[in-house]
Amino acid sequence: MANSSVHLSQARHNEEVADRLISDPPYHDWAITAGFYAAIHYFESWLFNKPEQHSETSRPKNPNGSLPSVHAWRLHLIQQKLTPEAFKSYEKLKVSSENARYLDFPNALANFTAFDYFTPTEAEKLVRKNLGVFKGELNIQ
Amino acid sequence: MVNTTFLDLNERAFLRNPQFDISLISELENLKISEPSKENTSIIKNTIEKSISDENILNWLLNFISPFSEDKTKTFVYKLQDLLRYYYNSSSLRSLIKGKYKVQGLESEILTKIVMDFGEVGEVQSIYVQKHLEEIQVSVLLSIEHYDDTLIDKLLDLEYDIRKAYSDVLFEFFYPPIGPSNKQDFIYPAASCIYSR
Repeated sequence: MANSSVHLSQARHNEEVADRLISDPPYHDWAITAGFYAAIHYFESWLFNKPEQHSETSRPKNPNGSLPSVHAWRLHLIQQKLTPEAFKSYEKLKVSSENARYLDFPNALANFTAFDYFTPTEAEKLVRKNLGVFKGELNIQ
Repeated sequence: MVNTTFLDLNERAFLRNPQFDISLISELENLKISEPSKENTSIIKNTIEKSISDENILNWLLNFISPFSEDKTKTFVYKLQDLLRYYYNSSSLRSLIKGKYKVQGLESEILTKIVMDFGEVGEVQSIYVQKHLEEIQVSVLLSIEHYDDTLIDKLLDLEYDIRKAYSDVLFEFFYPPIGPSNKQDFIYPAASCIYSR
């Protein structure tokens, strides 16, 4: 498992990718996904110094041995440990990145593309504003 | 507190939309409920709760459908084929069946709150839920074609309140946009519709 500094490096790398994609439409929809994966690594970097250390390994087992998904457990930790604003910022990146990635799946209900659904301006605001709030909460510059 | 059941919510959704495509498990529940033998139902419940294993899941399913009429058996088998496209091994199928029944018993109040809160939002077209691993997955289908930040803010506020009120329960929320589509079938065949406008 990666330590805090490795997660931080990966987070900054992902954020740089998001910055590049934001300014390169029509690929701005992928900036949201890069921004979300930056948020994941920023959180994991912060969590490493907490008792849980990693979302993946701190998941609670129920009596039959099954585990929650990492995404669901990480969201639970974020909601429990951070402010409502930080939770909303992270969750907005998460749900938006899911829409950006899965709109064109087979059997999907939408009849439009992700790069039409999100304008470049909205993608930029989604990434910059929400990553900014989330990093601020984690005391990451 | 509103006292309702998971199936009640399904029935309400069905009444709102007669075209509602009931999921396999709901179909399975309907089949079970329509059977006259209470003793049989009790045996089924006991089996579900205590003795389904990866090894005997297929035998359990065969026993389960054995009292049904030919038509009901066919319906069940067709739906099961659909389900197995996604839950492709005995272990995941067992978890699905056990998990579903757990949702019915435990989460009716939560599902009611989800319907009441999200149903107030005009852009919410329908809501589907399913038990996945240890969490409740909630898909709130939106009748929009372009991202609406104000709308997502409102939905995330509702989501946060639900998470805060039921902090011991794990959730995943999804907000897929569907535009003006009236399409009712969902990408997860095991998900049940609990609200449809």
